[in-house]
Amino acid sequence: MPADDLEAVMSSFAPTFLDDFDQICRLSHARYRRYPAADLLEHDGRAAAACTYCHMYEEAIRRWTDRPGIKPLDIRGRKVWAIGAEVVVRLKKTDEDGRSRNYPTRQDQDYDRGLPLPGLPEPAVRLTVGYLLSPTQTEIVRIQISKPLGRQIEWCAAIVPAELAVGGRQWEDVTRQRGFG
Amino acid sequence: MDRFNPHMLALARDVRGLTQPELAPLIPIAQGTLSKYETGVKEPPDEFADAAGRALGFPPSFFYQPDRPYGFPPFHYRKRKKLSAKALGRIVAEMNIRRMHIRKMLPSFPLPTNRFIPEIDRDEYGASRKGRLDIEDVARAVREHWMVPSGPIENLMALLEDNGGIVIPCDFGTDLLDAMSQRIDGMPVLFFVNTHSPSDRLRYTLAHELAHMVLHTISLQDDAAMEDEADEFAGAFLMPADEVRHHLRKFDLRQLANMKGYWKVSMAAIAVRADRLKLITPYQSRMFWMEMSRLGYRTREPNEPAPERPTFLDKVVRHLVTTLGYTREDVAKLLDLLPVEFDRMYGPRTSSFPEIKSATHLRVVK
Repeated sequence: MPADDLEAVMSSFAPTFLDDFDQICRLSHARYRRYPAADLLEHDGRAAAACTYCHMYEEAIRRWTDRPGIKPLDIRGRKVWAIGAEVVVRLKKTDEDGRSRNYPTRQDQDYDRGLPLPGLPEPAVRLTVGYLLSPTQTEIVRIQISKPLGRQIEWCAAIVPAELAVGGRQWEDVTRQRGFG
Repeated sequence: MDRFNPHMLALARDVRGLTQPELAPLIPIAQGTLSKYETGVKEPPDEFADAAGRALGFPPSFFYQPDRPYGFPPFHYRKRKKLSAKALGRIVAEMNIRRMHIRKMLPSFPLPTNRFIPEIDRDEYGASRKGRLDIEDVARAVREHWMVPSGPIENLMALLEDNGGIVIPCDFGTDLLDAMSQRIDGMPVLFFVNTHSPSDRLRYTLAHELAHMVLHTISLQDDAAMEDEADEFAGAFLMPADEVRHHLRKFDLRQLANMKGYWKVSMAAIAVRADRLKLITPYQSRMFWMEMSRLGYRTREPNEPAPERPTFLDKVVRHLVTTLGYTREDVAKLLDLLPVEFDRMYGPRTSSFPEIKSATHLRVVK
């Protein structure tokens, strides 16, 4: 089993893919927000997330098709990307902890628990690349990568946009700290 | 030459935000003498206009204009109370100077005569409707009168200017006041807007000012009632009840932000509208305002719509320059302004604005 702690996982693919993750989420959300105002008004949160996801998926395909080191996988409708043999990522809308908020299917629950799924490389670390929206759901607060552990989150790292990166640091640990007691 | 007009001295001093004790040493002159000139107790010597003009950035001719200043319109009492005397003086002075400019420029500009901002006589209007003035009804009538299609008003400034108003961008030097309006006989209705105001708030405020011009220029009421009516009109004019009602079936920040993108008014204005139409409970309203405060959205909301730009004054200046052959100096002289001040007030704001040629002078080449 590859090391699945925050530092080890992030440093394994950060230089190569973080900028792509960031851009895929931001561009897709921006594209969704350019829909006519009358259409946005008729969408609920689920429709907004579904539209944004479609743009994210297509943007990922555009960027990663034929790119060495990453390949798309379709696990009974769930689209994920395998980065080498060590990491698998999926794209989602997440909350500030890095959790996806919709009701998970059985397959998603198994993905989050790290249980074997046919077609997924074993024993790859399973991650969620997600975008966190502002309270009005109109702006992106941050793009983050989280490692689920069932319904809990083991760790969550925010991608630092290239223009804000200080000293070359590409990500920050934003895992919610547990209180004492 | 006309007589020295003491009102113009007070206007020039106010618009620069100076008190008499601050201005006197700049001229230089004793404050007592300045006070006597400003109140008209004493006639200043001819050279005083030069000295005052140098200190205040106006040509001497400015002080010889025969016009008289108008005070604040009789609404916005509460807003006025928040403003300092200096800020208030500056706004009134700016409004008066702009009004005088427009009065000088308009005779040379072909104005359409069939466009106007209606005025409602409450007694007559109410009498035809069994004594009750329904503000929703008035807002709908104005929309119909101007043939505004259903849905959001794309550009409120353009709508006002297309229908006989003039929108004048001003630097009020404060963010306590977004806009002000004036209806003066023989002139189009003037809407003065603060260039520093956020665009979503400005649209609502302009609609609020329109309400005062429609409802409160023939008969006045007490300030609170007039402000309440103007707010109700602004909401009804920008977001007609029958159209906005079904958008408000959901009431959360996400929906309000999307409504803001569609109706181009602030989330706060939409919440007030929902409250007035009784589409939300007092509890929902209270929670909304608490959330807005917590997020800091009560001072500045996210997703500001693209700002609207007035175009009428640009058109007038362009007409003077391109059709009537005025130079920059000619227009400045017409308005009793220094050319540099003219550039600040009426300089190019859009790429379509023509380059204003300066007067060319012959000079001896040795």
